[in-house]
Amino acid sequence: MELAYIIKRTASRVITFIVVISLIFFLARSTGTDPFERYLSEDPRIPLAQIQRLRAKFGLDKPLHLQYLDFIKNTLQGEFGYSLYYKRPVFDKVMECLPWTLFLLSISIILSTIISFGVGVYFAWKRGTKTDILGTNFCMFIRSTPHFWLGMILLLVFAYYYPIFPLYGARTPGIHYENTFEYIKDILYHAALPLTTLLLRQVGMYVLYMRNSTVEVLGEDYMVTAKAKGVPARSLMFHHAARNAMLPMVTVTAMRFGFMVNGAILTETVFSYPGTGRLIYTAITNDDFFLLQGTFFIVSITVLVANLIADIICGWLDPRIKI
Amino acid sequence: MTEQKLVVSRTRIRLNQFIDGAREFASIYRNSKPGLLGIALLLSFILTAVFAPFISPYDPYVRVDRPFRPPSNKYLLGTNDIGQDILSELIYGTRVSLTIGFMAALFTVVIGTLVGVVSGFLGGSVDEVLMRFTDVIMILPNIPLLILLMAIFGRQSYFIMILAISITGWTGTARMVRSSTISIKERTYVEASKAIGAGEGHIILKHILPNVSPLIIATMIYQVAGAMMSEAGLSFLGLGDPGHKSWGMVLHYAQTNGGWYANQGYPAWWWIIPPGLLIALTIASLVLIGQTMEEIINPRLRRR
Amino acid sequence: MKSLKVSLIDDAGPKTIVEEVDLSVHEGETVGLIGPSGAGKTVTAKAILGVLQPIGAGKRPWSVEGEALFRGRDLYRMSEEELRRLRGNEVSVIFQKPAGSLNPILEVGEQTGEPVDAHEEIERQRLREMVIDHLGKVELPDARRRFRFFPHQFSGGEAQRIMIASALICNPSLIIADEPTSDLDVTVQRQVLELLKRVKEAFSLSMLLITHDLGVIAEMSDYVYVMYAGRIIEHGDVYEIFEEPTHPFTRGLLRSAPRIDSDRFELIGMPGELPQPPYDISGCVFHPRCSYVRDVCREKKPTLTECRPGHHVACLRTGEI
Repeated sequence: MELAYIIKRTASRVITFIVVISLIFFLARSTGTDPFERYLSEDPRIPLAQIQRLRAKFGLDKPLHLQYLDFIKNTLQGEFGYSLYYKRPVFDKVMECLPWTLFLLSISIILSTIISFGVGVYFAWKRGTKTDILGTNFCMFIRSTPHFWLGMILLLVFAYYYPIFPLYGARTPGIHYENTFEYIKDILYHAALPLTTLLLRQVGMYVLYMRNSTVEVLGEDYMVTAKAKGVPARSLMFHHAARNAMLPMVTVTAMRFGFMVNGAILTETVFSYPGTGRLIYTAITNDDFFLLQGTFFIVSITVLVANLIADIICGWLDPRIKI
Repeated sequence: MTEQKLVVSRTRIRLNQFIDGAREFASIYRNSKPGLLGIALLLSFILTAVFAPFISPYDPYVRVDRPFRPPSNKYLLGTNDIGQDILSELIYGTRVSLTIGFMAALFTVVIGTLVGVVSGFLGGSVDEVLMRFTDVIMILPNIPLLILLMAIFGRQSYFIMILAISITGWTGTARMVRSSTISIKERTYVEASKAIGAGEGHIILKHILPNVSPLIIATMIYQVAGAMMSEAGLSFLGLGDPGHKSWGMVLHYAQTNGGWYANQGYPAWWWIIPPGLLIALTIASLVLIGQTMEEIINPRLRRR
Repeated sequence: MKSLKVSLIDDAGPKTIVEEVDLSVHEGETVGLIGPSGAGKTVTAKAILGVLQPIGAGKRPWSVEGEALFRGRDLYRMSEEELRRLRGNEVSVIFQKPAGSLNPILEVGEQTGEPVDAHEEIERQRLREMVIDHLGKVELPDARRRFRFFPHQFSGGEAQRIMIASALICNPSLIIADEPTSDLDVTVQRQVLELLKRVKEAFSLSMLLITHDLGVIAEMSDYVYVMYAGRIIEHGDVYEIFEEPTHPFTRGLLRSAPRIDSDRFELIGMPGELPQPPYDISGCVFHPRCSYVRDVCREKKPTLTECRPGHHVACLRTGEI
């Protein structure tokens, strides 16, 4: 694999990252109000001394460009400030929540890719038939539906009326697990509905994408050649058509992680799932600025790293890029 | 005197062309069942929005009864946590949701078209820079950005929401408009225009914009759908204006103000299901319309 | 003996693309099918094996009627599985654009060996040897090293050879070659044609050669069918057709081919344009461009009649012109 390719991609990611962070920084400061002023007006119980200390630490009394440097310095040290809502360092709280989100997102991406892939190719192969038309329309309808609402419906049906799944959270609180297996079962049990919601959303989108890509491929000359050689239908569908149709998909997949974060925020809120998405929500509703900023930061890094990994996988899969 | 007359008739001709085009378009459109369904739905929503005060049984901001009452003859969709009639909330909510969606989409398309045309037309380093910029914004997940923007500039303000949605959403349109501009730019009649000495502004107005317009209109429809989706999400998270409840906001209150337990320990389904359903239907109708339009526009463009 | 009687009515509308086509290829023969581009030749070829685009099990935008007999069995009455077993195995096809006809993401060796793999169980080692062997037979340089390469790493001529190799690998009895040289440079064309000739001899094949190039037909075929606007308008022995072209179109075709040894300096073309499907031309399909047109030509559709022994033509004014 071309080293140059990796470097180029990394570089662009890093640049994006710097831009984003700076954006966050400047936007935050641009409103003119000191974030601490807000807290002061919210909660008079916080000792003045502590506020002054924090202020000094974050250098909010210094001119802007110096603040920026401080910001960078702090960031690199992993110091993101103090969450006033949770009364803990931001970094700790975020790190606590991040694994849950990653868990949900990675499983949903993998599963949805596999499902969309298979279903999309199948629909394309059978295009025009009832299966295809029904399926495609169904996907379209799902795409038009706000997915958090879908999640609510799922919750309604499967957690309340037919209580199969739990109502919220990632684990049943306060239970002592007999062994790892129990733990895993419990986690999966709690993750089922949020996962399904995320899956529905993604599958809805990518099935269509995959189907269209496959339809194009099916019209190509080399498919005719393959069929004329007597290649059986199954093999035609997967070995030939799907592999070619997959390529544009893979490029899209590289970007997906970013979009997934969208889904995560809303879904986690609906299901009260303790991931970073919900953390952002909490941060907003409680005016917890540092929490917001810190979470953002970490989420951005994660997204960019994930994109980078996806890029690399992309390059590895497509023989045309290799050569 | 004669010159004036010529100018007038040129405009008249263009207008006639436009009307003819529209008529032709309408006649093809009429044949499409999904397209008609889409328009029918959308129209009913728009009408509901416009005539809300007449249709709605109660004022949604006034407490009419005990909270959390299930649907009955008096309150077709029951009451919410404050005791306001949900049906009325939803009817008035049509106004809010549709307006925000439309306005946000409008701004998005305007910004996107501007960037796209400038970038495509001027090319060179301007193009490079703009496209890089677009890439950066495009790659960022939009909801977190939106949240951030709103958190900073003022939550609970639909105006900010509209702006925020536009600022984060113009990228797709820009890309499309740009590639369209580039392909139009390379066509021979533009070359011919240049040869005659037409100024750049003239070229843009007379050639590029009219050809890009069908594309823009089609995109606009999808943008409205997208904006409504974004608005729903943002409102759900609590970033909407409680003084003007959109459908998303109704869901927000359902989620946070006890909607899950309101029905004697069970969820108040009448509160949870309808708003989302309405959102889904509206967006679906837009998508149907957009698709039908695309089908019509595309072969026509190709024929040209 | 393979004889194909094919009447096709294809639809995207429905539009008839090819109509009342009766074609026969006899054992050991090379039959040429010539006609202007777009006359329906490729469609006919693809229709024989049922590989019209787009591929898939969905609703097809075309329909085929008629019979296609291969060794006495009708291809259209067979089950899909039986038909599949024929493809690549006893009847092979070589297509026009070699670059587009090879799957860009699969290795060339794999694609060459596909027909075998699709029809019999064979171990990888043996298959690999077969592939390399055949690639050698089509004179692909350095096959042993390059069979792992991808299509875009080969030139047009080489890609065509690869196609030919994959067509031969199962020892078919009939090869359908659809414009095998049309996309290649003239020098490469010659090489490929020579190769085809040698291959035909070596493997004792029958071939249906489709082209719009007169020179190719003259060189390679024993028998010729002329196609225009989806119909066969003339057919006969190759010498017959070239010495005594009877149909006005065929005459025009032969006349318009520039020859080095003639005294003419101008190129003679034919007036008018090639009609596109749906062909709603009344009477004879060629009449709008025919210099011998009479009223009857506009009304009646000519059928193929024998104008000279072994030579059939579809023209209402055969005897007169």
